[in-house]
Amino acid sequence: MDYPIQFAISLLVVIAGMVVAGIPLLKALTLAIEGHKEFEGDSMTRRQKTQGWIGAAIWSLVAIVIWSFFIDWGRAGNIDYATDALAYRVEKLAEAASRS
Amino acid sequence: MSQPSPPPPPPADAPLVNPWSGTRLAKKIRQADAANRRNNRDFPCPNCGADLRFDPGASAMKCTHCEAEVAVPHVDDEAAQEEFDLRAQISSGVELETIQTPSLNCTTCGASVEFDADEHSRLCPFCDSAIVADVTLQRSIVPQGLLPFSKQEKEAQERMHTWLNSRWFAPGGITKNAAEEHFNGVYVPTWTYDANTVTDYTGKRGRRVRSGKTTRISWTRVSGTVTGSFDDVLVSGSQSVSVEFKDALAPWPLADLETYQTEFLAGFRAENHTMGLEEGYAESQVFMRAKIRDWIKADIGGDRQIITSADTRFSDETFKHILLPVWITHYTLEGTRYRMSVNGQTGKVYGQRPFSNRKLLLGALIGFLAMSILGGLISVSSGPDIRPYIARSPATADGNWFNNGN
Repeated sequence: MDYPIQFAISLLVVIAGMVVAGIPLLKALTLAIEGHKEFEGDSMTRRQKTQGWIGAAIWSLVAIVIWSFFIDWGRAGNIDYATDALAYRVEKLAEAASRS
Repeated sequence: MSQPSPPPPPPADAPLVNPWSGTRLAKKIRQADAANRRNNRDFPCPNCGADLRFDPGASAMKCTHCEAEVAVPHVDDEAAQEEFDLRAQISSGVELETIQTPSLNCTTCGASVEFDADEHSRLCPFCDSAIVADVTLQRSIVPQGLLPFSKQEKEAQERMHTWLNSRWFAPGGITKNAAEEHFNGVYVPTWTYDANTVTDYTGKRGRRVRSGKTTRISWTRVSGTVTGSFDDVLVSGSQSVSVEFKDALAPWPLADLETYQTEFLAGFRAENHTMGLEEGYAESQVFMRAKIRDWIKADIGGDRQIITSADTRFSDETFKHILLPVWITHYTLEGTRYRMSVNGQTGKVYGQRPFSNRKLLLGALIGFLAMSILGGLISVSSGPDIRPYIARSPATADGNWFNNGN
């Protein structure tokens, strides 16, 4: 592997960042699920109903892309390959987003 | 000096005549006296003289000392279900019947709650803050009906525990802390409104049209009319109860409304209304108009809808003024007070809930680690697709990016 220490440190930093970012999303998702089950009227706004789900979906997508980057880096042992593969995937995702 | 002689006593068979009886002052005193009798919440036990309290679920009052039961007198329920003409009421300018009740105003949440002047504990049942103001007589609209409490305090506590236990990512000691708290039984003033509506609208219907790889929306101008009726749109008569609170505790079985009798209130608090009839109707119209927009969108059809104009005519508008039963408590966790409410009729629970940061952290960590499986699958499966895309030279001497040749 080209940069083993950098690999370990960046993986830990990314895990910490994603977990911290995931906490408010998990809260919003929990409230959306509980509210969906319990609220009878229309008091939950569309934003409240959907923001938990949308946030969780975006967070999951980012997590998958990040993991694919680190797994590529670990498997190839080369950050250049992982960076190019990441750019390829991001481009494909952007294409898919623009189509929909 | 001679003393004035007293007036001669009336003959024994003469009718008692009060010279004040015809005056306006006497009339006012009689009205106040009648209101006091109607508003009398003190029901002494016929056996021991202790206070009677309404016993939820039993349709009777129970003595707090000897447990003797006294049935609540049966009154025809028609008055509770009667709908009053809203327009006639507003245009007449006549105020709805009111009574004066000793009450306290909470400066924190705005609630106006009935309190006896000699009560020592003056905590607002809605926000749990101490009320330092003096008890004053306040005018309160007499409700025509109420839903009596049918759930006991103990049952409300059990329901709350079940609810708290089912919360995801809640702190561990949550039910233990909540178990020590007592509930306040409060009747919340509520307006209900009915209306028929006819709405003329104009708008645009959008349909997705695919051309090659792109999709565009094709718009068509539309117009039409939607009709609909609203039955018992609930609007809280107090500002202390948020919209979420009202909806989260719904549904309310309004078919079981009882005609207002003070016996039902024995042992419970009643909140005074702070929102008037017209103000409440304006709020109900916000709800109705949102529903009408949904009806219009359904009527327009297509994939997307734009409403350009909507002209709604309301007719046959009627209202009721009722009281709804709510058990309220507050519990403390890590220095923060949380409010819990239980529907006094159905037992449905709603509350403010804390989150455990440790559990959330663990949940997010597990979630992120779980995503590594998908990330790994994508990394392995998309390798061959990526290779032609990568411009740089392979790292290994044999021309492969991966040592195992994949």
